[in-house]
Amino acid sequence: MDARPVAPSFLVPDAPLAALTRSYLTALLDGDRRQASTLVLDAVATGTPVKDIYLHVFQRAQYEVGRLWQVHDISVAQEHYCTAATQLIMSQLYPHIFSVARHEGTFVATCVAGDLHEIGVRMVADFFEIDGWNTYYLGANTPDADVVAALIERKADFLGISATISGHLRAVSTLIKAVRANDACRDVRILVGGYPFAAKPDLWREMGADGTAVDAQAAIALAGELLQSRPPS
Amino acid sequence: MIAPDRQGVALLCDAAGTVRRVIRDDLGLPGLFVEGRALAEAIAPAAAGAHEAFLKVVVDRGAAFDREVPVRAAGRELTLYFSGVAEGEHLYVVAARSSAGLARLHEEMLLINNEQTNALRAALKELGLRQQLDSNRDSRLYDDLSRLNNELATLQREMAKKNIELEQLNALKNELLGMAAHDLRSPLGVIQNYSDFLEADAGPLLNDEQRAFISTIKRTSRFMLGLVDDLLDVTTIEAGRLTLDRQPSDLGQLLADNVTLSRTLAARKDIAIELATATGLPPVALDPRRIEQVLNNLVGNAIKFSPAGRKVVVSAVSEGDAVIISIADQGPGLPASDLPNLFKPFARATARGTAGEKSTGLGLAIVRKIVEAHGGRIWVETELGRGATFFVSLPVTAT
Repeated sequence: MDARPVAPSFLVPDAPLAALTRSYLTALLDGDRRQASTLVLDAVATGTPVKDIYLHVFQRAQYEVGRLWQVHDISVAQEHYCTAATQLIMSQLYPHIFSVARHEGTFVATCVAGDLHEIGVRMVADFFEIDGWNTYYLGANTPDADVVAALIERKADFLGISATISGHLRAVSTLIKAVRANDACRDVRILVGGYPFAAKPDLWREMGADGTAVDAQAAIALAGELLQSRPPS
Repeated sequence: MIAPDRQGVALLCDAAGTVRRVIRDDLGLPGLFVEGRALAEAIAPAAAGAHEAFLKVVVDRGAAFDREVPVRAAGRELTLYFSGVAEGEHLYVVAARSSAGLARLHEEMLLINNEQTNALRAALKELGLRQQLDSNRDSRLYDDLSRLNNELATLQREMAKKNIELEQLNALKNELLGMAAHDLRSPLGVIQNYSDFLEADAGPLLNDEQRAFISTIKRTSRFMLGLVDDLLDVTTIEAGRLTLDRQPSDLGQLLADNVTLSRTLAARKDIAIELATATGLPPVALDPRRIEQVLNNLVGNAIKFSPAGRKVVVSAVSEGDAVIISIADQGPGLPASDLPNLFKPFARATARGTAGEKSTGLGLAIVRKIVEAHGGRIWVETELGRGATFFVSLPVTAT
């Protein structure tokens, strides 16, 4: 188990949408996902941007759930429930996300085999989609060869790889090598993310990736920069 | 085989009296002492109180010896002699068939004290380990559930994206079709008008063959115009722009008018049209122009697919809160293979117009859209060789 410093609560009172986030999390911890869903859908219906819901409600709530589990305030069952419920509620927002016009590049996201924590990188993919990228999310069980095939078929500009624990790093390395080895997708820029990369700031470089970002917003900014600096093909 | 007076049972129970481990059981009474079951269940009902008292003493005072308590085994009652010792949160209970047997059990326990103590210790340890294993298994179950949930979420994302892309494609298709149809109308109009002029002005100067050419040009361009109109109709309806101008209408009159007009067409093929509308039909909220379109299509089809000398019957009856119109022909009928796609655009049908009439393939699709926009239903009853009857049900009041 990687040692992680225990953070103070992520539910900061003066953060945007703090009240909604608190009510949302309370509903989930009470096992009431319908109430959690209603809270979010009502907020979106009355004009709260979906992006803000992702950034402030979902992201913050997930971090807090992780923290509560780490300090043994909630059980593993509750932790799994909160994640599953949030995934379901995210899916209810898909009609709002996918109807946006595309004007950026193509982004393929995945996490490595055995990783349970898909919600984080899926949120990143959704974030890109909201920002006008064409995104494809491949589940944790996607074989490397299929990831490469998807990059080629979709003419991807970026691949995002997520790893939660250092035990997953070897799989990240193998995947990066597989992508670089294929001529047809050699120019794809690879972004990596997850705790191991946040803990060791230069790890992305050692692994042969093109960059790393700590969260969705940073990832989009980085992708934008890299897209600009792309040499003419 | 252990001698009966040496047979005994040694159990590890929890403080509630549930058997956690059967350490030894050579009593030869299968099913009596079972892990996970309360010890009390083995006890003869009448002695329940005595058994409770025994457990209480063990728990409160730490030990109880030589208590006579009958057990119920295979429908028979059997007296056993119990001793119990409390060890932490667990109770160690032994029983034998006689006091003497129990005493010998105690002796044995003292003699092989270490072994039993070790067995006791081992039993406790295994219990603790089992609880840990259970919790690990639960954890694995949660993980497996999470994996399933993740896969479902990923599939759902893909589906949601594809769905919206399909909707966009559909809207685009309608737009393109609409544009194409509009652009085709004017040139077609020109062809029609000029062939009319040609026929009127130059007709007398042409020979039969040339006149036939003009007639073909007119007929073909008329057909194309019909197709373009149908395409426009379909795209309008698909794009959700079909607006109905509903008024309470006399359906009987509408049918009568339509039949009168259709008789001209029918007469050319020597086909009779019979009108059989029920009296006292309620006024139906409908868009007369669009329902006329429906009738034109259905009656037109009946005429088109009927051989000469046959009859088409148009009728209407009231049923509940709807009126049901039926158009029955004595044509060839429809094979079952045509039915699933009958109301879909450009469906390939087997039937051919008996006078060589062409089909655009859109008529029934449009008819269905109009009927359903009225909150109604359309269906067909048919048998190969026995004709076809098309039914349209329209609700009396607008839904």
